[in-house]
Order: sequence, then structure tokens, then C-alpha cells
Amino acid sequence: MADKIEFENVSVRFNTRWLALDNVSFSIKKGDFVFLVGPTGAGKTTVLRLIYGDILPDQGEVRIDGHPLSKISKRKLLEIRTKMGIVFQDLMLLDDRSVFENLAFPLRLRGDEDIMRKVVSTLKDINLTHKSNDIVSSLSRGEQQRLALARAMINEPEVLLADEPFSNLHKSDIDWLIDKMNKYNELGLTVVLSTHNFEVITRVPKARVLKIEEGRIILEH
Amino acid sequence: MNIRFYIQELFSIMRKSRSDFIFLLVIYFLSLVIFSAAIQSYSYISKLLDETFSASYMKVFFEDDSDERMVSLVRKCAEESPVVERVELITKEKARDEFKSRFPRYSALLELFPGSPFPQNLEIKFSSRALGVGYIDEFMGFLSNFPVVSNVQHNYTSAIQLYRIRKSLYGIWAILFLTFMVLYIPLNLSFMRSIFEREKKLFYLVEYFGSSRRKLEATFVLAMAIPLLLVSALTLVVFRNLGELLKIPIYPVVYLLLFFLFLQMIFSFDVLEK
Repeated sequence: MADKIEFENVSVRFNTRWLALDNVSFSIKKGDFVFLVGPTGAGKTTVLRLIYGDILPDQGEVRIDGHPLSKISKRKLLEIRTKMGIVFQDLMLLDDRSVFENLAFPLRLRGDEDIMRKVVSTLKDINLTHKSNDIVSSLSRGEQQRLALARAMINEPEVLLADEPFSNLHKSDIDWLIDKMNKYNELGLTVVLSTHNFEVITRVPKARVLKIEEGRIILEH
Repeated sequence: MNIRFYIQELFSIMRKSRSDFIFLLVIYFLSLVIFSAAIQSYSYISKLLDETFSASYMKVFFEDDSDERMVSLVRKCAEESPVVERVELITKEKARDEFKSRFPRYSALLELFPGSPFPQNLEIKFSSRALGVGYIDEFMGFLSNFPVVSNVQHNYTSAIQLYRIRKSLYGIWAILFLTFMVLYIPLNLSFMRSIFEREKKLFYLVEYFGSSRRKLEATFVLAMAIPLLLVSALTLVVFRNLGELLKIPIYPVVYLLLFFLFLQMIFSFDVLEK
């Protein structure tokens, strides 16, 4: 599952006038580390949303392991999503719940029997054990970002999608996140992340870079 | 399906919005108690009216030795009235027998008279339509004008008063119900929307983690219905006992509760839809 992500002549139009993506084609293989770079409004988030099936293309097709997302059932889409970990731009953490509860959420939803062990181990991994019972809204931005990444990874997905994970973070937090993602990638995880921070790209020498501007891929490296 | 997750989320939704739920509980309690009381008081007055009405009749007494053709004419006039249900001629002998069966302790008194001391009369039973139009008193005046008629009496007064009380109550409750609904619907919807807003993120997250949103929607609908179900159960117990005491049926209250539950479902789906 999720061995291959393919975009074939994909176009997305918002509000009938704004062309968010214009005839975009590329593919991502299992174990790839892909940076989507470009200015704000270039179409990076749209690419990520297309991958997890939040929106469908107006033209062309997005395929995950050969399954065209516009033709599969909602049930199949949800099944595909169980193999994806998503870090949203606005993090989408449950602000009124504790760090522990946020991490436990996907496990509880899946009916996991080993919640305590997995959450405790993850908390240790992201250095938030001492804040386990703290409410999310009391955490710093860097801690929240770490928590969002950990929550996306706790179900052991095959693909990690991260939308602007480095925005408004201190350098130390960015270093921590990029190291973590690198390690996950070395273990076989496919990573697709959007950023406008070009500096981080140099931290992952093996990474592929897709530069997007005005809805088109202008550079693939 | 991971039922435990949804049960935990159900309690989480209720805990997080407990002040809204308490307010909803109060609204439901007031509305159900007030309208159940209205329905049951209406039912009770209807029952009293039915009992009083079925025991009521009009008596048209004839002069002794009345012309039989005139008696027949009076009877025909009564029978042809569209609001008269039944007309029975009570002969002097039958009147005496009725007295004997009704008051056996005083039957010996009748031996003092050579024949029947009771006048021949007509017993008239009206249909319920007669209550509403002031017809009975008008008809009584009409029959009194016949020369063979010595006296006309009826005991419909209580039934007429009960009918008027019931009619007034119906009007008052109908206006109150409509006014209440105009306030209830937006108030209820706004509380439900504010509860939903607090949980909106949950609905997105569930889908992003690969689960169907439907189960969480069902959880939300159930959470919204719980205060109403609690109040409904309480209302049912109280008004069932009251119904047994007053010997009136409980089904109108059950219909009311089902109506409120139905509204609740529609509101919940409306909130989820938007």
C-alpha cells in the first residue's frame, strides 16, 4: 500500500477562476523524501490535499498504488488514509485535551489495545514526557509541532505528509524535526513535505525537490 | 467498529459543553412539562365533558290529556333537528316504572296515586355539535311555545360550560405552543451549533485518520438527544401516574415526546449538514 503516488496532468481550479494547479505530472516512489517548495499560494498545500484525497482534481488523475482517487469509493479512500500520517499546516491538534490524549486519539480510534505503551514510548521519543498531562494550548509552537508529527506517526504510516511543518519555529525545533523525518525516511517511510524554507532542503541530500510556482512544477531536482 | 471510542467521545462532548447541556435540559424540562400538562388538562376536561354530556338530556313535559297529534308534531320537530341524536317518548306508565327502578325506596309512595302521577314527556339527547352553537337553549325556547308543552328542562348546562372551558384552553395552548416554538427552534439550534463548533475538528480528524465520519455523527446526534431522552423519561413517569390517577390516556403525551424527539433529530442533522 502507498508504494507509489502518481499525478497525471492534474489541474485544480478553485472558485472557477483561480487555477491552483495547472497540468501537473510527477510520481513519488516508496521511500522517497520529497520537498514541495515554492512561495505562498503556489499550490503546495493543494498537492498534499490531493494526495490524501481531501480534494479531487478537475482534470487529470491522482493515483495511489494505481488506485485513481476520483474513482474509488469513500471506504477505499479511508482505507488508504490509514496508511498516511498527516501534519497539517494549522496542526489540527485538540487544543482542549492533554498531550497524552492527543497522542492516544488515533490509537483509540483504531481500537488499539496497546495505547499506554505506545503513547509513553512516543512521549519519550519527542521529549514531552514531562508535559504528558499538559493541555495542548499551553505548549510552545515547537512542542505543538513535535506533538503533531508524533501523532501523525503513532499509527506507523507508510507515507508522511507535512504541510509547512517549519513555519514559525526556532532553528533548534527545525533541526529536531528534520532529523526526525530523516530517521523515519531511513526506515523506509515516504516523506512529502511542503516548505518555503529553502535552507532545510540542504539538510536532506537524498531528497527530491519539486519547485512549484503559480500551479506549475517549474523545477524538479 | 470501535464502540468504546465513540462512547468516550460521547461523554467528552457532554462534559466539554456541560453548561450548554444543562441549559438544554432546562429548556426541554420546561417545554415538556408545560405542554404535557396542557395536553393532560385538555384530556381531563374532555373526559369530564364526555361523561357529563352522555348523562345529560332534555325533558319536554306535556300537559295531561294532550292532543296526540300535537305530541307527534313536537316529536317530529325534535327528530328533524340536525343536532338531535335521539328522541324517546316516555309515556306516563313508563315514567312511573322508571321512577320505581331509579328510586325503589320511594316506590310505595306511588300507591297513593290511582294512576301514574308523572306527565307524558319526550326525552331528547343531543349530538355533541349542539354544544358549540348555543342551540340547546334556543331549542328549549322553541319547544316551550307549543301549547301542549307544560315545561321544558335540561341538564346540559355543565356540559356547555365544560365545552367552553375546553375551547378556551385549546385556543390559549395553541397560541402558547406556537409562540414557544418560535423561540424554542432558534434557541435550541443555536445551542446545538455552539456545541458542534467545539467538536468540529474531531469530525475532520476522524476522517483524516481513516475512519468514517458517520459514526461520529451518530455519536453527536445521540449526545444531543440524551438530555431530551432523560427529560422524556421523567415526563412519561410523572404523567403516566397522573393519567392513572385521573383515568386519562397517556398516548397524547407520548405523541408530544415523539414530536420533540423528531424535532431534535431534524435539528441535529441540520447542524451536521451545515
